[in-house]
Amino acid sequence: MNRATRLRLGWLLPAVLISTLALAVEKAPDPNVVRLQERLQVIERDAASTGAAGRERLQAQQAIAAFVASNPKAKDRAHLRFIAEQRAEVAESAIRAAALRAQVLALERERDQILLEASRRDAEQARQEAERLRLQNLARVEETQRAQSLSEQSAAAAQAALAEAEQSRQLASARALEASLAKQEAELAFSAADSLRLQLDSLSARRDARGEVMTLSGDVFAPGQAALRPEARANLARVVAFVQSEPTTAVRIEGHTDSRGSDNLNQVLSQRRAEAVRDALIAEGVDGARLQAVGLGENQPVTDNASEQGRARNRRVDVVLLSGPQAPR
Amino acid sequence: MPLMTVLRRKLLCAATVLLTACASLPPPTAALADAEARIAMAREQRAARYAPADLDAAEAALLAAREAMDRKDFALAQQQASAALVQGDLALARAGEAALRAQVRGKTEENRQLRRQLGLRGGQ
Repeated sequence: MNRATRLRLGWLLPAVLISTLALAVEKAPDPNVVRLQERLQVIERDAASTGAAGRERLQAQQAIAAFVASNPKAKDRAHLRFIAEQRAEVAESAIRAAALRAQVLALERERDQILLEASRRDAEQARQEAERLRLQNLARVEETQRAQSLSEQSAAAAQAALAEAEQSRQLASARALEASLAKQEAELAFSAADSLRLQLDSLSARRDARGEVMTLSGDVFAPGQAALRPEARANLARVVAFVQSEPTTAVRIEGHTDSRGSDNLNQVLSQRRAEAVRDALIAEGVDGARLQAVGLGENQPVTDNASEQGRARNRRVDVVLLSGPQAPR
Repeated sequence: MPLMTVLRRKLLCAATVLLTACASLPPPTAALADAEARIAMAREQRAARYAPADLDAAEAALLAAREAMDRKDFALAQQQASAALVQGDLALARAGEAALRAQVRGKTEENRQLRRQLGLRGGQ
């Protein structure tokens, strides 16, 4: 090796070393560039997977590219880095917003699902309720049928009950009629009380086919009632005297009514009135064994029932001293 | 070609380039207007409530851009206007995000209550 060659090598070696070092320094990547490029990769991946934030991703890409391409010694490099960072930030926020929008949609679907589930459940409850009612109804029908067959078994009893019901219905209607008449009678009753006393005082006996007869007019009873009026009870002296005029003779007390009201009712009423007179006589000291009370209803009128006067005469109690030995016993 | 002529030409070229460079920096009026519009939009999206820090930063950059404009420092005005724009965008994005987050919270709670009202499971 000659001197010239050695000399050339002498400053070539440091030159190569320096340039290698310089290259190494040049090649050492800017950590900010690396970081931003990695961030961009994540943004691109997420934006692709959500299919959203396209514009923001593009803006971030451009800003980062501008920063990467800028001269490391350029004055505006810091500014470019700032813009790149902010754009990356915006893109990341847009990607998160897309995810949140998807979440909102999912929540809205969930809400619909909840409402659907609730309405399904309600429908199921309604169905069960309907089924319960149907079964209940079925049970009632069976019960009714059972009761029906039972009542058919006792058809005769039912028939009887029906007849009875009809009877009591008639009785009720008769009573209603009687009551309306009673009202009319009540209006007359007050003035009648005086004449009743006079009438009872002036009672006289007559004789007919049955024997000696004394007739108490219907006025001695309150209208529709079987009990003697108090004033009549107090003035029975003439009747008692009549009965006791032959103390051993049997006495028949016959109750009569007019033709208004049902036969049944009239029968019952006439019987009761006759019994009331009998009881009054017993109370006055007449021997009960001599007395027989019969109800003859409306069947033996003494006059026509067409007029009020006629009906008044037909309402009566005949006290008959039976001629001959016709004692009730 | 004589050496002087070549030198003169090179000088002329340099001067032209310098002049052109100076002339190509007009006042960044449009960039400023863009940034202003973006910040107004962010305000409309209730950024003052959902992203107050970003909105403040955007407005500070806008103010700096205006001041640079007043000083005829168009390069700085341009830079600040672009910073204000991107920060306005960020405020807008974060306000939207926060509003959506609130919506998610609200709807989650709504569903929970609905479940409870309707007596469904998962609504305790």
